[in-house]
Amino acid sequence: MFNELVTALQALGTPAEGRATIPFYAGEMNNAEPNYGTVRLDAEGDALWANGEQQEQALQGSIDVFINEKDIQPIPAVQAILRAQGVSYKLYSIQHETARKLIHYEWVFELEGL
Amino acid sequence: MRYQFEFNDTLTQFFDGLEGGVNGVASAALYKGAGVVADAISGAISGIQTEPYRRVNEGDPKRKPSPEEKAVLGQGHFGIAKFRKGGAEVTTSIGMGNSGYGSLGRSGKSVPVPVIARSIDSGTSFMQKQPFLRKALNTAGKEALAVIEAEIDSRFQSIIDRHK
Repeated sequence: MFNELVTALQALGTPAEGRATIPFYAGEMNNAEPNYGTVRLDAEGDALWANGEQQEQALQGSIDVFINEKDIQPIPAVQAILRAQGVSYKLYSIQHETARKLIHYEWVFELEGL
Repeated sequence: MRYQFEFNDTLTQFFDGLEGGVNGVASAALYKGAGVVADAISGAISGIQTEPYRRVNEGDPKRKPSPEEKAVLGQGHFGIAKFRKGGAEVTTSIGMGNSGYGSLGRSGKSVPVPVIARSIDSGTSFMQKQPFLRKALNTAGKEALAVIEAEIDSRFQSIIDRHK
């Protein structure tokens, strides 16, 4: 499920009319650069155990998008992908980095682990 | 994070007036549950990775929080709010929302503690992300709920036993 999500998000790196263009990377971005997105898994969100076996597991991860203030905001583009992939999500925070004129969008999502 | 327990009216009337009533039991249970969450947050703070402070220009590798920034979080600047009792509700909040300012030493300037906590938890364009709060609350929330339920059960049971 996670790999499909990464592939779908990476399609946002191809410029298209009327939506934000965001090059996406899996994992942490090492360098401080503007205009990119990362997607990563952080931890187990919730799990259901029965009969000594794990029956259900939700993996929790996060998506961070750093984008210039003047660029098209990425909320519709990212959330359309999350919905299409059947991933539950929350727009966790929107933080303004005024010194660098960047906006940091953060989503926390959960997807099926098993 | 918000949990709600409801008691039916007959039960509430029965326990009201005894040992501080339902609110007394709820406060005691909530206090134990809040302790579980507070402990988990302390543990998560001590697990934050640090590196000496350095300036990050565009294109440089992102930095980790400095030891001073971590120390500000760890110096007991977070806590459990005073319990509010209103009607049949007892509420509290745990976190760094009202934890004041911490001095970072290197320049002597004060930075609001929630801003530091937030920048480590979410990451910024210049700082690596370490979601210590979110991860701690994922697991501690469920543990706290179990502790609260067990405490409510045992207190009610002891009241019942005494009035048999």
